[in-house]
Amino acid sequence: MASAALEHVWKKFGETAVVKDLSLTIDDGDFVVIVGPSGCGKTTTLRMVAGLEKPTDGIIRIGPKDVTHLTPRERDTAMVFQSYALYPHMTVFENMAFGLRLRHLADDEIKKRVGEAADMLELQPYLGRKPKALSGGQRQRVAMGRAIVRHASVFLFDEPLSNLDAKLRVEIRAEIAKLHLRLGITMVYVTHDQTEAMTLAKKMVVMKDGLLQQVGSPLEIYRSPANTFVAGFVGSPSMNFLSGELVSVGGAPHVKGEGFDLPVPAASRAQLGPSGSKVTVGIRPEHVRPAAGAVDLQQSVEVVEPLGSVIHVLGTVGGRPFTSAVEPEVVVRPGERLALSVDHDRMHLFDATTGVALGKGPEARA
Amino acid sequence: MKPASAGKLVPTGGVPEPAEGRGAPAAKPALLVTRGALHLGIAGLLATAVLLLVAGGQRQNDLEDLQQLRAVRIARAVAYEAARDDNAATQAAVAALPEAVSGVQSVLVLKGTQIAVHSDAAQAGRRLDRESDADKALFDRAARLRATVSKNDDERTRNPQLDRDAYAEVEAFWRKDAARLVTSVPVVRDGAFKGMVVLETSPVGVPAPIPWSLLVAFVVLVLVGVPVAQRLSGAQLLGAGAALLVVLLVADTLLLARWRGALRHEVVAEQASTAAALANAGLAGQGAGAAGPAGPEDGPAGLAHELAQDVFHRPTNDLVALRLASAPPTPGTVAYASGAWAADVSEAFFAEGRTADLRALWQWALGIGLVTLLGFVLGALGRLRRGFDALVEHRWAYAYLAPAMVGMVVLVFVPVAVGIVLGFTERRYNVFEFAGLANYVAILSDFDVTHADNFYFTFGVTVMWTVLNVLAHVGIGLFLALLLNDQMLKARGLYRVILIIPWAIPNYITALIWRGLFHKQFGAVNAFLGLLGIEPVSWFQSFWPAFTTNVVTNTWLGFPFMMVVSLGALQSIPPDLYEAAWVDGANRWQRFRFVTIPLLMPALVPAVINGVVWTFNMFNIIYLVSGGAPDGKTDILITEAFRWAFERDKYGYAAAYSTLIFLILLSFTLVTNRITGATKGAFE
Repeated sequence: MASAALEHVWKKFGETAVVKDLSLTIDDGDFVVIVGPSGCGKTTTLRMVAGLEKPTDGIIRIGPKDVTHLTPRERDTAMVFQSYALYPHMTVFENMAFGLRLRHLADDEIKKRVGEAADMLELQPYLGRKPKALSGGQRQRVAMGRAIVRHASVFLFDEPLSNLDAKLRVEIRAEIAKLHLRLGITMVYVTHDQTEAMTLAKKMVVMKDGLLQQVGSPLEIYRSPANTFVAGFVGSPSMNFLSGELVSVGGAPHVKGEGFDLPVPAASRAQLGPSGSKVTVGIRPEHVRPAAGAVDLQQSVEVVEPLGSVIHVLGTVGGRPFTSAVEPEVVVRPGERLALSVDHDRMHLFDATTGVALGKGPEARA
Repeated sequence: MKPASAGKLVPTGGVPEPAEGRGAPAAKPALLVTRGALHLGIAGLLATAVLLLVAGGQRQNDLEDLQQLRAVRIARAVAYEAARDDNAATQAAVAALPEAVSGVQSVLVLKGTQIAVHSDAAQAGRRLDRESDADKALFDRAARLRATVSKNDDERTRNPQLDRDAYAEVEAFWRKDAARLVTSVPVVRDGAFKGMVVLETSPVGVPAPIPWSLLVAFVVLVLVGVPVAQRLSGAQLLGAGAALLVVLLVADTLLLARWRGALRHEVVAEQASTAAALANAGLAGQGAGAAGPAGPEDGPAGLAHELAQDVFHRPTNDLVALRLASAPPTPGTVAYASGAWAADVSEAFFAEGRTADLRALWQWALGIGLVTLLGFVLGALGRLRRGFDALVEHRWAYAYLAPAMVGMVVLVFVPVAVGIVLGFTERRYNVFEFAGLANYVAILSDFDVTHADNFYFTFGVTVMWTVLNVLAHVGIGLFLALLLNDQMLKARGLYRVILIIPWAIPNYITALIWRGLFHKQFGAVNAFLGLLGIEPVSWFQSFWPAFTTNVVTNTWLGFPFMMVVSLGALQSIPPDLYEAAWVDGANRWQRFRFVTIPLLMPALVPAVINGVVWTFNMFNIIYLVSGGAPDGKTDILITEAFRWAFERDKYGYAAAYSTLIFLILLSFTLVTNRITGATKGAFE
């Protein structure tokens, strides 16, 4: 077990920079999830930690040791691949024991470690089988077992759940979380699925186009996204964005746009620009409710998605797409207009041109 | 074209008409039946024509063979007489020959450059004319026969067990005007060449006419069959067609058997009377000290012995020979003069022929009976019905398969079956006789491995040849594949093309090129060694250098295939596996050893099995590069089999040899397949 750090790491393939000046510290025993859309450089970052890619510039440390120029076999990391990369010609036992054999561990020790891992992952009945005789979930667990037995300093997961069906994904996700609790090892986990990231991460790292967007606990990131990208990426359904303009209504700053007029939350007031400057208003679907008194927004309803515990209402506000999540008791039909009130304190304001959040966000107070 | 009722296999790609042929009964496909009947008729006519042609060709061969044997016998009788070296007596007998024996046009005995004896008395005693082309050809032929006799003598000295001539002491050819067969045999006394007998004969025996009546009968059958066929459904039609084919086959076979029997009867009768005529012409019994490995005998028995041998001086067992052996002809015997003896022989043969016909008939009857019985049993089980339904239902599929199936049967199954059957026979003057396991016993019970033509010696060479080659192919192929698989290598495509070229060139061309390269005097290999100051090597004079030339050539030919296979397999290994192994702590060698090698196996093992089979039977390289030199020591089993068949004329032996090769390779493949079954499907 060890901490790890990336210091001003760059990775270029030819002229294309895939990772740009990334600095990140991973504490001992941490569970860091790097999340972002395809091509954001998250997998490259992980591969650089594993040693499968060499950074063009910068330093990578595992523990106090500079490992930038070490090969993967010298780094003491264990990795779970997206494809699992199980050796098809070896049994489950041999797959898990392979790394230990290469390190010339005693047979007893190998058996013990593999046995432990197999118990933990419920793989005991399958130790004699070859990978092709296993289901997707079992293969996934073998891949994890192969990493666990190594007792490596850092555990790397490269989108390990993307080849599983939805139900299995939820199960294994929980297993990984339990595993981390039980073993307490340092884990770095890459995914494009924000739900996975939210549920697993102790520390979440959001990347886009090779650039680090925001680092923080999942709730921090949910509550106070640093910019519109993070705000839109994290949370499901995605945050709604409306364009507006700052105006002063009776001395209090308001943001006004087509179909709405809302007071600026107190937390965002500190950094407001002059009246008339353009802003983007971010409202999460779960932070609106059918208006009981004052109406903030009128949503034209197009699609109603009842999910049981909640209804997602898809439609538009002032011509812009808008989704609201309302309680299942609300009766609403496509073609109707739905009067909504907004939880003003949970509104987000972003600079319309840079997308950067204005103020520290509502959660600063919360 | 749109088959009206081929519901499942309509190849038109159109939308099937709704409901037609499902609920409602399909319209009767009248057109199909007519066409089917027509096709059946045409196929039948073609089959008959082909059978007649084959039979005609065979008949022509039979005739020529028998004519030649007859001519050889007459010539041998004269040679036997001439060996006494009494020119006057021989002249007297020979002069009478054209009169006494039908078909004989002229006979001469050449001794040195003198025509010692000639059926035309005017020519007797003439010396050969240096300016005459005809005389020169005569002299050359004598020289060739002298060489053959001396080669046979050498062969017999070297191998005392040899019970026959290694080389036929006969030259026979049909003169350009085709009506004359010119046969030359040596006059041999005490194993030494004394002269040559040249005999000109014209064919005897009236060829039986080709039975065109069969064709007429078949045309009638078709004319009757078509209207009948039109009333039949598709399934019935197929059945009728099959039945018709069986009948046709039986009829043709029977007819052919009768026809050949009649032909042989005629010829045998003719030969019997020839023997009688020879005896009456005074040619029987006076000869002395004739050649032949079985030892000379004087008198009538000697001539009988001589005449009962084939062109290799092997004992034949045709009826003429049998008769000659049991009752040698003597001059003045009334039986010979009257031709009663000939009649006797013919009658015996005729009886034999009838028996053969009957036997063929019985065999066919038995066969058809068994098939019918099987049909009843299967039919009772409903299996035939289902099989037949499937055949009818998928008739278009079977129709499409038919050309390939026919090709396989004709080109693969029939030759293999014939070869296996041949292994149980021995060929005696164009007659294949059942010999049981004699060939196999002869091959396998000879443990004298000091001889190059010993089976075990050759087998050892073959195994060594195969192992060395396949090791080199796989080693070099895999090595190059690993180089070419390196993503960083520039111009990989170019290298790949260059390295595949040896494979793309026909192997006999490569073989001839390499043979040239290894030429002692002008070859590039020795020239190169010369640059290094090494003495030129006589590559084909001793075993190891000759063996090396073969291996080098075949390695050159064989590595590209293994390279291509390895490269394909390498590229199918997911790069993730290497990365996983790397992260697991494997260094470059360990990744190769534990990931690459095991994952190459599923592709490489079948390739190696194939490679072993190909190399084991790599005829072209051995035959064309070393040619077995020196003394057949570098021959492998397959070239040795070829030599047994086509150089030593032992077809049955060679067929048994080939069957053994087949069995060796079959068991090799079965065993390796079983052992390596585990490597199958490492990937899904």
